Amino acid sequence: MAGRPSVDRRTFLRGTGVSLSLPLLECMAADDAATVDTPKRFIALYVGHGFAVSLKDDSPVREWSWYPTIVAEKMKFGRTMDGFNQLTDKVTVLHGLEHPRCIRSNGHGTADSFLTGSNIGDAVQSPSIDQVAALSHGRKTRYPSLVLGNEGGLGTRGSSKTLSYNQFGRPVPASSDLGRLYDAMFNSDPALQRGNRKRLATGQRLVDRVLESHRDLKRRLGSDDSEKLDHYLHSVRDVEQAIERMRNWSKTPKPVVDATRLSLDASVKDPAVFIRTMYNLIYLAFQTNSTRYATYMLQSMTGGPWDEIPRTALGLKVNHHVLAHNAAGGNTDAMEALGTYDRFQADLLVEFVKKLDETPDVDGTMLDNTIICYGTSNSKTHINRDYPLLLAGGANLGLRHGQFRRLGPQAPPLSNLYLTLLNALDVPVESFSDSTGTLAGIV
Amino acid sequence: MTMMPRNTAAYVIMVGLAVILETTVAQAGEAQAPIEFFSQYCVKCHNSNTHKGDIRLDWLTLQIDADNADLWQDIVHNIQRGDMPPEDAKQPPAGDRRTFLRQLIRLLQRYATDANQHDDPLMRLTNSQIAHSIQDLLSVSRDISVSLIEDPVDKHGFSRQSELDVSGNYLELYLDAVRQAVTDAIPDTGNQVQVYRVAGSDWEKQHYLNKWDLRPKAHRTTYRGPRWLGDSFEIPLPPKHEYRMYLHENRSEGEFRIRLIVFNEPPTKGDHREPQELSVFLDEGFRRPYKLVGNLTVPAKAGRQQFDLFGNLRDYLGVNPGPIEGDTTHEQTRSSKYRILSIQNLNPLQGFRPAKTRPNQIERFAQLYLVRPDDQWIDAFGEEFAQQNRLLRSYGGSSDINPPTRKLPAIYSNVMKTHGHVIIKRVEFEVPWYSSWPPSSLQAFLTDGQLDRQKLPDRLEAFAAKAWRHPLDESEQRWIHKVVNSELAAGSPEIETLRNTLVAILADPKFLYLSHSTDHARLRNFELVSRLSYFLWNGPPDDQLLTLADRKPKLDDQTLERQVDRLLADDRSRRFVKEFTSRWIGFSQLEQIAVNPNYYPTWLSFLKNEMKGECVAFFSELLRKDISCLNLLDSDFMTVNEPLAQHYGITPEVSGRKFMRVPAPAGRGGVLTQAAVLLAYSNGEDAHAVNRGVWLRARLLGDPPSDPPPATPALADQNPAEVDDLSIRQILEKHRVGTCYDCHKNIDPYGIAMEGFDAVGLPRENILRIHTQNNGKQMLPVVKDVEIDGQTIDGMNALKNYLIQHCSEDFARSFTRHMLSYALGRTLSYRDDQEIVALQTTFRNDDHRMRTLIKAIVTGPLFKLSETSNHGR
Repeated sequence: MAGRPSVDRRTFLRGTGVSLSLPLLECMAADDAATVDTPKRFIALYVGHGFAVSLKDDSPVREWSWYPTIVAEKMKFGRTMDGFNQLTDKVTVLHGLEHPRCIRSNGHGTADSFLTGSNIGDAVQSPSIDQVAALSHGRKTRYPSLVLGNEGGLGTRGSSKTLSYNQFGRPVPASSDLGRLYDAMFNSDPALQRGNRKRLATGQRLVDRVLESHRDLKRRLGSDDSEKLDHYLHSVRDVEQAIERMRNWSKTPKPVVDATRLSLDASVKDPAVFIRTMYNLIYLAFQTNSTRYATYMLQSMTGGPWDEIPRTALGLKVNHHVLAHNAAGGNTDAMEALGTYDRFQADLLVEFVKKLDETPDVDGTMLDNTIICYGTSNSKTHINRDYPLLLAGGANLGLRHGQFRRLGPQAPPLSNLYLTLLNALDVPVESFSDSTGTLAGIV
Repeated sequence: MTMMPRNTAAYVIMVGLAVILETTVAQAGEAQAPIEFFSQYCVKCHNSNTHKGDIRLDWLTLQIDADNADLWQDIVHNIQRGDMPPEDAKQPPAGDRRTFLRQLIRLLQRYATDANQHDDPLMRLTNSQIAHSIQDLLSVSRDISVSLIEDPVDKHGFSRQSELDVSGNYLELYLDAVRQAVTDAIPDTGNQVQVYRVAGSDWEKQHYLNKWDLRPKAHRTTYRGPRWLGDSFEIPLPPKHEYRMYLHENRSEGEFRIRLIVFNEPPTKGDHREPQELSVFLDEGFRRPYKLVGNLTVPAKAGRQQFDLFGNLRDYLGVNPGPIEGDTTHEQTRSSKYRILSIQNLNPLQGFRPAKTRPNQIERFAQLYLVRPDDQWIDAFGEEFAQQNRLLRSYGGSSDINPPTRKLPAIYSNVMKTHGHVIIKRVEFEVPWYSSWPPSSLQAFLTDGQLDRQKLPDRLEAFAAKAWRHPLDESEQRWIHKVVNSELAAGSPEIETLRNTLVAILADPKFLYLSHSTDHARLRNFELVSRLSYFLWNGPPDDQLLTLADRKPKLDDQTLERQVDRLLADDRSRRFVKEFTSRWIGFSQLEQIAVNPNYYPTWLSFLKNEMKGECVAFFSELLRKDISCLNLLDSDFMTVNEPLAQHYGITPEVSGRKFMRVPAPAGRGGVLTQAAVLLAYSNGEDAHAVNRGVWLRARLLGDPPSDPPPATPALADQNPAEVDDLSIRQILEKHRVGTCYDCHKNIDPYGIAMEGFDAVGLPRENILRIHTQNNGKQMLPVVKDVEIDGQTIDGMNALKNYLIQHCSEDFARSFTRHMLSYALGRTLSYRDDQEIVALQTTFRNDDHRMRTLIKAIVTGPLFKLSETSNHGR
């Protein structure tokens, strides 16, 4: 490719009207794809609108509370989280953490910030935890990370449909197409491969032509230097690198998995099958080392068909948004209704966790090498404090489990937990978003 | 490795401004005061000898630059918070402190604005400008802006277009979206697409009525013959009646056309026709049935009238895209494998009780009776036939009430006696729909109906000249040839070559960026008309503008003014009105407010869209009728449609979804009482006096307060129990102690005066408060009297009077600034002050007419980027 401009990666890029240096890009090149190490995996799972929660042990609705009670110093989950009673020594429940900068965000506006800790109004947006990890180790796998969601796409500011934000704090669109995910990761069909190669070649030609054309524009602009044009070139280079990366990986045969039990044509019509299939794809992606990091938006706060599943599939009377509002009143029936939905999600998660737990892996089981972070960003709906959070797995990464930790009003920012998890994942960052340190007692 | 720095947000590193700042300070005659204050209260402790806290300030000067901006910002925050000077040190008098802070903040703001002020010859199109350009250039309806990473918004409503940029991620999403749009425009001609078409008298066979008809045990699923009325089948649709049919298709994408053929009929006992307001909806599946396709007015005239509505099914999601199989309609309902098409007549119904329809979270505000098609068959084929085929007449109850009240007789024939009405003669539907085949977007590239690889480069050159907004020079022509040849050489068939070249043209920075070149005088005309069309159409220039740019040596002011009139008269200027209104009101803020149904149980989520519509219609009225923009402060009219009129509880003669101008009832009028503003600056539960106050100052007075220092706790965060029982004014009075007071005394009063309106924009006497601890409900009285500028202001009307009487100059300046910022695509700096004063004067002297302001901007030096302007430095 003669004539390609050399791009100085240390150049300051301008993102959204602010200048950001790019120390993160530095580490991208540092790791060699050939390095073999124990995969340390991470997945974040999110449900919007909040769970049915009650912490009063004498409350009549306590059995439908997401939080466990403590019986003989051990966690005892109620009806919602019943499935976790068989896994109590492999999970931790956290109460009292939140993102301090998002407390005053809108009542349904905190899905954006769940994994970033940034108030959406801030000029500088933090990347999400998974993308920080992917910048360190993402090159080792075919996919640096999987960004998934039941609805898919980006959503809008304050109504995100994705949990992941890249190194510039811009959203990464979530993928919701089961068939395409399967094809991308596991399908070795020759016709599909040919199509892919053709697309990559077309993309490369496009990049080449555009790079030629930019010189023309430079000439037209005359003596003025354009920072914008430089950034445009950086972006083209980024696209080209992505093409190169995919080309390189296309030389490595895709792993072979058994697809017969995957319901790749599932839809929101049968949400349990859909979510189970997505979990299975994540499981296979982890097992085949196709990626190490995943985020999965199980329920955004944007309305639409997935918000309606309590009515369309679970036999409840209202949609999830209204369920959450009703339950905020603390009424028994309403708590039971939201609890029923919470249980729907919990049961599917338990299946996933158990599957990881039953699969042998380096030094133990897949669960031992995988950190699962599951939660929501509302205690009651509209209240952006005291996120109900559950951690599972990661014993080989040092995570200690079996406790219900109530961190109280003086709790540090949630970002401290994320920093702790990043370090456990061998991501050598010293801070994350608004962290003030690590969170004691997790590892 | 460390995370990215957090403190670079406010001040971008640029150089070369120190001299200007110094001069400005000196001119203002305030140069001494801040320095004195600074040396007296700060440097005393933080100097080379006693560098307390390891901080030395003695080296600092008031020439704010990249090296000291962050430190100065810290100093301001420390003084604002009252942390500095420390308690045991000598305290400055409050007045001096305020003066010092004010001066310093002004310097910092200037520095920040300047640092943000690019001297870049390129400016990226906004997402919506890109989307409109793609739509216009490729003749497709796909709105690609929804697939792009959102542009940042300025919270005070100014344009930050000059700061837009692309990233690898953005470019990838953009290229994907462009590929899809190009495939829409250049479909495969070889294998004909499967077309779903309801045409001729087919519509008679498409009837689904409501979910009760589709239960397994319902009296029937759907009528399937044997007899049909054919061409004589018709449906009468009087006011406040709805007619539904269903479309046996479930694809999730494709352009469609709905064609209605109707007659406007006078009452059966009369001969006076009325215009009829119809609205057409398609469902989104999953029992969220109605999404508006369009509104139309059937003019009061005799004879057959035809209306076409267009859209793309991608915008009507939620239908299960699985294959349609089997024949059991019930199954199709459950899995939503069909779409409902609903036609509603929204004219007023007088003398009849309204239908008992529950307005739901769906877009059905109106109380409507359902007209079943069965009546037509029963009347034609007789009662016996009806019984055999289980036909059922329309009934006067509702279609939605659970279970339907079938016993009441239908009223529509009675209604038609006294009301003008519509007779639907035919409904047609087609997807995918092309105005011609091959579609016009493809035809432009064909030679004798074929893609000729010899002629292709020429055709693409013409496209590129439009996309890049200037005639191609030789090297650009060569480039096009090269792209085409390299595609063909790579073995792409002609149609692929065409598509890939179109993508390459649209991926080019010459499309994505507006430019202003300094060396090429010839290009300046083209650049100017591009700016003009992106200003007033939010989209690309048309042939007339490009021809004009080519012909004239230099566009003179008369030509520009004539073009302003032409552009504003064109339908595409709606895009400008919508975009400008959106930013000025802050629609993105409105989007983010979640109305809490625990506080507003009757809230209907689609009302947000109607609220936006009201603002846009209001701006549109100001522009089209050429009336004073002071109407924004208060007006004797408002622009509402029927759902919004219902929401406001006003009963003017408003029917249907179209917005119309009506006299404002007492207490309403102007922008401050528009629900969009009141809701956007609430918290979804209660009014938010501070947010409203900030908005008012930023938009109406042009004086946005500076941000609170970082980590300032909200009052409510300090001790929720303490504030639970307090009125908003009492809570805000807590602001009046300590350092919060300096800013809040100028913010809160405006918001408190608006306390008489709740979050959803309705007047109120009491404030509902639901306690977070125990869910207890409490009503607090509204307190809305405040003192502003020494005057007692009691509530909204008094506030509006005050603004009209005392603040029209501030408003004119503020509005001028916002319009100028929008036109230039950048924030403004003090260097624009001279031009702003001139524009404001022109604006004010012509009775604050928007059109006058726009013309003055377009012919002014900043927009034209003349050599004499500051920007062309």
